[in-house]
Amino acid sequence: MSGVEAGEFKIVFTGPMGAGKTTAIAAISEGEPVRTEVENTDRVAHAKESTTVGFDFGRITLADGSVVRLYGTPGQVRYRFMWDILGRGAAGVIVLLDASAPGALVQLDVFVDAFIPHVAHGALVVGVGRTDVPNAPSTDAFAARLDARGIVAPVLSVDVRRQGDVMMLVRTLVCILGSHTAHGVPA
Amino acid sequence: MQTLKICDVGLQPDTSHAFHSMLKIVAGRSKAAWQVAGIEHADVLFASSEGDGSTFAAWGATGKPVVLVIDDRSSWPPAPFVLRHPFRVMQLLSVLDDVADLLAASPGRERGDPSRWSAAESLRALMPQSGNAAWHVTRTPLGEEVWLGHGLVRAAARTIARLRAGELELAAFHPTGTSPPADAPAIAACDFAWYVGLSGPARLAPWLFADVAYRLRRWPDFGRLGVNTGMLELCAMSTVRAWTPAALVEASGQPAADVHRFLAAASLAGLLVANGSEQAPALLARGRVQSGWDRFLGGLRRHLGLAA
Ligand SMILES: Nc1nc2c(ncn2[C@@H]2O[C@H](COP(=O)(O)OP(=O)(O)OP(=O)(O)O)[C@@H](O)[C@H]2O)c(=O)[nH]1
Ligand SMILES: [Mg+2]
Repeated sequence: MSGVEAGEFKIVFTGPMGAGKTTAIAAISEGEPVRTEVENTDRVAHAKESTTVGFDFGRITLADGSVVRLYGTPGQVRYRFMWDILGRGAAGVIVLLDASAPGALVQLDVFVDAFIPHVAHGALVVGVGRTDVPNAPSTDAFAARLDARGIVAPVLSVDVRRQGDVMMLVRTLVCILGSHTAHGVPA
Repeated sequence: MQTLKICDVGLQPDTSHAFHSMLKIVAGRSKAAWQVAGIEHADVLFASSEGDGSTFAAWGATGKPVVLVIDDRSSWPPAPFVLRHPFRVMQLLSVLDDVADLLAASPGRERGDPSRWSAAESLRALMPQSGNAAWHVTRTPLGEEVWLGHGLVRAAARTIARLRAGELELAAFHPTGTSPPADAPAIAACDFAWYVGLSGPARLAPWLFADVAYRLRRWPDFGRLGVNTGMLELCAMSTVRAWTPAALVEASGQPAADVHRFLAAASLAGLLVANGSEQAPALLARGRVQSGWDRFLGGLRRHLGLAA
């Protein structure tokens, strides 16, 4: 269900509309990432100009020539069928959230529920943006939400416009993968 | 069976009454025999989170465990043993058993040199009530004041910057009638606790035990706190399973001082639990480790600047 299938090692960025999946992949991908964005016609859900309808795709090439694939899902629930297609076989999942968006805590549940079936080795990391907006829930509130469900996953405040922040999310994910492989309790 | 002495302080009359009658019911079912004792003889304190600060400070210096009782309006404090009033017998039993496990696991109590832990020790005692309105204050060696209260730590911006950089050694906090300047920048008390832990001595903190296995119940927010790859590794390892301090040093290959400071920071911030003192997290679904995985992970780790 996970890992390196046919030489593929993929990391999936997911989360609701406007959380910053397309931005995050663009921040760390080599070369121009592939985007499938169209003009955003749902300005009620989010005011931004474009939205992903297929997926984002970026890549990181390692020294030995092997490739880490970065996929971004669409955020809108009407493209939900893409979530399973993209989630399948993922080495790890990064859920991005916008703390200032209404219902951000509920969105955490929605995306964790949708992607937990795809993540082995506990490889789930949550990145929360805009925690500095007044009245936005803190990362502790998101972490408590995971606690209540018995999930121990890092919840990190990030600004995905900054490459260093996105790299921190990926590094954290890779540390978790390494720890589970080396020290995890066998299934 | 070990006999443990417990002392209750600061409880509302109905909570105190419930506690004493439940202790009788618990007798014979708990892992330890519990005896009510005065505070000077007690092994365990059973206290209201609203209690008196000086009692907590004095108790904190003993390094013995405390069971905190919070009321139904309080948010869950960053402490290992907490009960919300009104609690049921089974909840009390479970917490008491966790405390008994902790004490049984650490009979020899290897204690560090307490001399340079004064700020951390007083912070540890005060953290459960750091949300209270009363202010406590301490000073840096340069005389800059650092206030703790209202769930926050307030100090001059440059003092906070030095604290983040691990450059500050603080004396113990003490109660004060004064308040910080209204414009003094603030950071969350939990974040402050993390930095105090990281800037402590290289030895294992005196309230941690060499023979107890610890794990993380929650990750710190490194986006806010700042991070290096060593700490990421220690967190990842400590959420997978519990480790004694020495085992964590060994398995991580990191300097003992770094591991000790990490453990002190995590425990002061309320993120560390002794194994068995809380339900272990449900592990997420695990998949098959496929061939090629290790090679990929190794390559990716090198690419990201993590040790291969
Ligand atoms: N101010 C601020 N803006 C941010 C932050 N993080 C992301 N953004 C902005 O938020 C927007 C996110 O848009 P996208 O990257 O298209 O979001 P997405 O997750 O791909 O959205 P969909 O494809 O519609 O599901 C971008 O304009 C970012 O510049 C942040 O922390 N602060
Ligand atoms: Mg997008």
